[in-house]
Amino acid sequence: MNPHATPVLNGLTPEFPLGFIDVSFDYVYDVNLTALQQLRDQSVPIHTDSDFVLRAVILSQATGAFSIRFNDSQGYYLSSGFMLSANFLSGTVPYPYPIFPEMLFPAGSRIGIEINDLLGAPNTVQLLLRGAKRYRLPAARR
Amino acid sequence: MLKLAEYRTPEGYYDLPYIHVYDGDALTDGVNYRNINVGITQNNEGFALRQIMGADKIAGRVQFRDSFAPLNGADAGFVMPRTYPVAPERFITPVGALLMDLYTVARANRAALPVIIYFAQIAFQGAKRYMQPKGAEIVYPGRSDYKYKERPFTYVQQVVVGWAGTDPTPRKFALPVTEGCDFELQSLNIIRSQLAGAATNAVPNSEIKLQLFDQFGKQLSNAPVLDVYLNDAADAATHFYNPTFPVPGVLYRRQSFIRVEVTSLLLAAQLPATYEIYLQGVRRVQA
Repeated sequence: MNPHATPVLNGLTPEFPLGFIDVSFDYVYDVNLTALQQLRDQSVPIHTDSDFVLRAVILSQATGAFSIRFNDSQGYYLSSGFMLSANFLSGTVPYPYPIFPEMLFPAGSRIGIEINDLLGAPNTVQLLLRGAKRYRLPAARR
Repeated sequence: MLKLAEYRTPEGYYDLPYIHVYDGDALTDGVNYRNINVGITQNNEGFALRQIMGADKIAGRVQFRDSFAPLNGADAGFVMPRTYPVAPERFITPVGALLMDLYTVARANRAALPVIIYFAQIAFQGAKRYMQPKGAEIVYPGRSDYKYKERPFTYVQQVVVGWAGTDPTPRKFALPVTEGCDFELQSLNIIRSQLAGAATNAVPNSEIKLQLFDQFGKQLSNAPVLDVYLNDAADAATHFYNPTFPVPGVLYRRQSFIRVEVTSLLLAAQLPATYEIYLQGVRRVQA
């Protein structure tokens, strides 16, 4: 093990629930907001081939400020109010926003999003919803 | 304290710390490219992909996929953060492919027209995974043949770059491992101490490329790698790639050489430039 390096670079020991395997994957949320637009009931559908574990959110692109909150298919909100986009930045550099403990989204469900433009002008936003697809192993591989 | 379990290479294999780079200097700006085969694996080795760096040096949006699935669900690529960790690692099997789409290519460069020096490079960091040869046990960083205690140590190698980036030929430097003990290299820091003959004290920003070799002369990258993908002394404001190399560390036995090849990306007006390369790690002092 190299003590200078991050755990990811050193290699993470696979620890999945029995009978499953995780494969790194991100869902991407793209939106073009008009000035001061408020969007409700936005959703990122989870593929039907596997569950998804959400571990972090990264703001990969934004023209300007916005606020956002997330929920799951059960109506569970991850915050009591809207979060400003500066939460996803360190200065001007995107900074991963950890979701801990990880959240499981079943196959075929959705990640719900509500988002408001605060720029007052067209605002192109892209969010990476980082995590892993959790595949069920065939019985023979368990 | 939360302690992560130490990673173990699968039985019967060994991991070579490696950076695989893709150079897009010959691409055309503004164009989209689909299904570029990065060429990350060969017949006899796989690649455990753990981090991607520097899409911002080559295109507005990117997408990656291996033989199994894409790395994310974007329709027309995504704006990649400067450093993109892949966790858990994605293992690209031998003869498997890592494919890349580039949207709106914009090649990073340094220009004093009519001279343009391009450094449109993207780096895939991880480990090359080989089968253990019969009867051998190769392991990185590597074992010493004596009992030892570890002591922190840094070798300092000064490199004076007196040739411009128009000359793509790398210059070779070899640093002897002395003092009768083995050295385990764990990270690199690079500081520029002179530019155009004037003293500086700065972190270089895509000014040289480096290629490292292990004690047996085995390459640790497929081509020279941009300084910003190797330099642990990165400036958080402008060079935020979070690099550490090599991972795992690499052992250089006593009386061997740390071999480094340096390629210039500088304009003639920036010469001469001096770089201090700090090779950080531990000395294995005989117990």
